[in-house]
Amino acid sequence: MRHQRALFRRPKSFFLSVPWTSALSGLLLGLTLPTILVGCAIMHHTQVGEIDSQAVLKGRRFEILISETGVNFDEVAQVGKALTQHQKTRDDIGGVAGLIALFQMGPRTGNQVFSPVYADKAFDLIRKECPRGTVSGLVSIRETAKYPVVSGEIVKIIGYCRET
Amino acid sequence: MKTFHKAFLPSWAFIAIMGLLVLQSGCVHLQSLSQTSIPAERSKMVRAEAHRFYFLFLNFNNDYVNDMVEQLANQCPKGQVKGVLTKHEGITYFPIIAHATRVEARGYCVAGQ
Repeated sequence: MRHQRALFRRPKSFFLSVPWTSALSGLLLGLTLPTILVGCAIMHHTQVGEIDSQAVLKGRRFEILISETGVNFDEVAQVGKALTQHQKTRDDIGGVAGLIALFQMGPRTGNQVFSPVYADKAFDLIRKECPRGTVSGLVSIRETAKYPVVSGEIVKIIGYCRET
Repeated sequence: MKTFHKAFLPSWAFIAIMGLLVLQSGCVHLQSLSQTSIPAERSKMVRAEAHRFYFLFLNFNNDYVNDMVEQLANQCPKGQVKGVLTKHEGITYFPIIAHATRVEARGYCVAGQ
């Protein structure tokens, strides 16, 4: 009798047969994976310069992108702590991260970079884009392309060149 | 002993007031501002705006500001736009879920030289 009941039991639907936790983790992975792969773009500052309308409307548009790799030491420490089970090592990593954070206090945009002069070449790059013309309508954008642990610290300059 | 809000307000009114305060607080914040030299001729003002809405802070590029210069130039085709004020602000519609960024540029159209 029991065997017969088991035979006529209604089949479970697919959605109910999938465990709750794996469905939820799959959903979370599906939502976060594109973000991790593409990276979030964070804009810190935008500035529009003075505009010569003829240069903008009749000139050639150019775009300069200067980028440097930034490192988030807080996330590095978190990854390091997650990789070890040893409590003493975890404490040491936390101590080193705290010490680094002490030396990096203060207002800033984005993560720390290893070259403090990476944006200085902007001037030369603009000159190369328009060697014998008028540059106008400059838009300067400071942005961060955020990935886990690392980031792209970007300076983007859009301008217009009208050859004379 | 009754707490202050229980003594003077019914709980629904307390929740409504707290909710209203949360919704009204800090909806817009200024991220950056810049201003170029202001000309003597200030008769015609031109203005451009770029806006992007974010769901769950997801934003994959900032290209929406790229055409602001063209917007300003089109409003002043035979002159120059000077005294440009650029204002970049963040807006919170609902914490964590709904945010936006607005960039506004305004300046004066000066007759071409």
